[in-house]
Amino acid sequence: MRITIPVARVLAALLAEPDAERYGLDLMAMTDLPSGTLYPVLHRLRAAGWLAAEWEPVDPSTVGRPARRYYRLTPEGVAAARQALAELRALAPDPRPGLGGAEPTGAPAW
Amino acid sequence: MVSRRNHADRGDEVLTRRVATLLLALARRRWPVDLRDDLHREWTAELHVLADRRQRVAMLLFAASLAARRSGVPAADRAPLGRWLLRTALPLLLAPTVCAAVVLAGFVVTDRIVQTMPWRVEWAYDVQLPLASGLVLAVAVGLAILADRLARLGPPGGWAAVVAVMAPLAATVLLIVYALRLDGEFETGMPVLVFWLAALTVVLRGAAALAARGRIRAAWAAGVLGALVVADLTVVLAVLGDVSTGRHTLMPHGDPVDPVSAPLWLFAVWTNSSLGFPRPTDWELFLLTDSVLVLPLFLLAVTPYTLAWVLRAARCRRTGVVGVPALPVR
Repeated sequence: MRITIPVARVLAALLAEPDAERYGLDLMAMTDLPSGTLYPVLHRLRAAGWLAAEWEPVDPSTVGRPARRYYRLTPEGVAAARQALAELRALAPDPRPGLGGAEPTGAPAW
Repeated sequence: MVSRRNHADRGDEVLTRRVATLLLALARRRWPVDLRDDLHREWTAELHVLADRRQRVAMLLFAASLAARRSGVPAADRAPLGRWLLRTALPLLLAPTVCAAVVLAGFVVTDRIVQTMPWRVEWAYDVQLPLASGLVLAVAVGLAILADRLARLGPPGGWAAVVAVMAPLAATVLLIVYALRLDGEFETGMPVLVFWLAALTVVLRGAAALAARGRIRAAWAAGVLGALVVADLTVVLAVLGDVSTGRHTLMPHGDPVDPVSAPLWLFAVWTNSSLGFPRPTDWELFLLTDSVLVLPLFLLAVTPYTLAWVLRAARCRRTGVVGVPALPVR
């Protein structure tokens, strides 16, 4: 899995709260990535098995809108993301404090 | 004043939603075929959230960004534009011409069959028309099955699919009329053809609306019944036009065909029989087939594929947007 800046941003956002369910719009807001960049990243992460996606269990006719799809890191993804961000941080000459957000409570800084 | 402003806001909202929907349709094609439905469904849901928040600019940016950027998936895994055109636009453009060729081939083949029969078989010429109708119907059903498959790749649902089907059909009919203008027969039949195209468009749109709501059987029933009524009326108008103009040598002024059997004329021409009814008589059948021989078979050839394409496109649109049961992805 090649870790690019957009991938790192998404991983950092997801690692902020690994158990939280994140929708596409949430991740766009957290990472400041446009949709055209975010969704290919999400696809790559899912293909690598780092990310799981599920449709929210709602009846569209009841809630009056289509069901949304949310994303969450898989256990394997959490470990891999932490390692990848740690390696990335180690490579950086002057690591910024919140760079990786690898800590469960760390805010995404990318 | 307030009402006018609300009306303008509503108009802007509808326009924004339509533009965003169009952009999402473009974005959808940038992804592998097996991912498209789920992604389009997801994007539509997110767009819905933005629409609820009245973030129109965000809606457009969301959709435009998706449409502008590549999926990043290897090119071999994506359907390129050329292949998409080959599978959707080209079949729709060629289908009316193929149908016209099928009708022509039907007459040629059945004529050969009849000619090879022993000369003493008196009923040989009586079965030529039903044979041609059967042959055309068989090919038309085959085209409908093919259309049902190809429509999954085309523009989803509603007016887009109806226009995609009807525009090439209308253009082909006009070309045929133009090509045969010296004959004179098609010029006088032009209003009838315009009526048929317009009425079939309405029937297809109505059937698509039913299919989009998930009422597939009702959509097929309404589509088939509506198309039959439209075809029947078209043939009646064509025959009456022939009578009223008195153009045809075998149809002088004076109503040689009793209109009492008018609803049966389409089926009478297809089967070359009165279907057990006292009218049309054998003489009237002769006049009918002499007046409108090609038109009923062309309607028979064309209608099934138009209906199949539009209904499949409407179903694709439904499953791509709302009303779909929430399914676990992984």
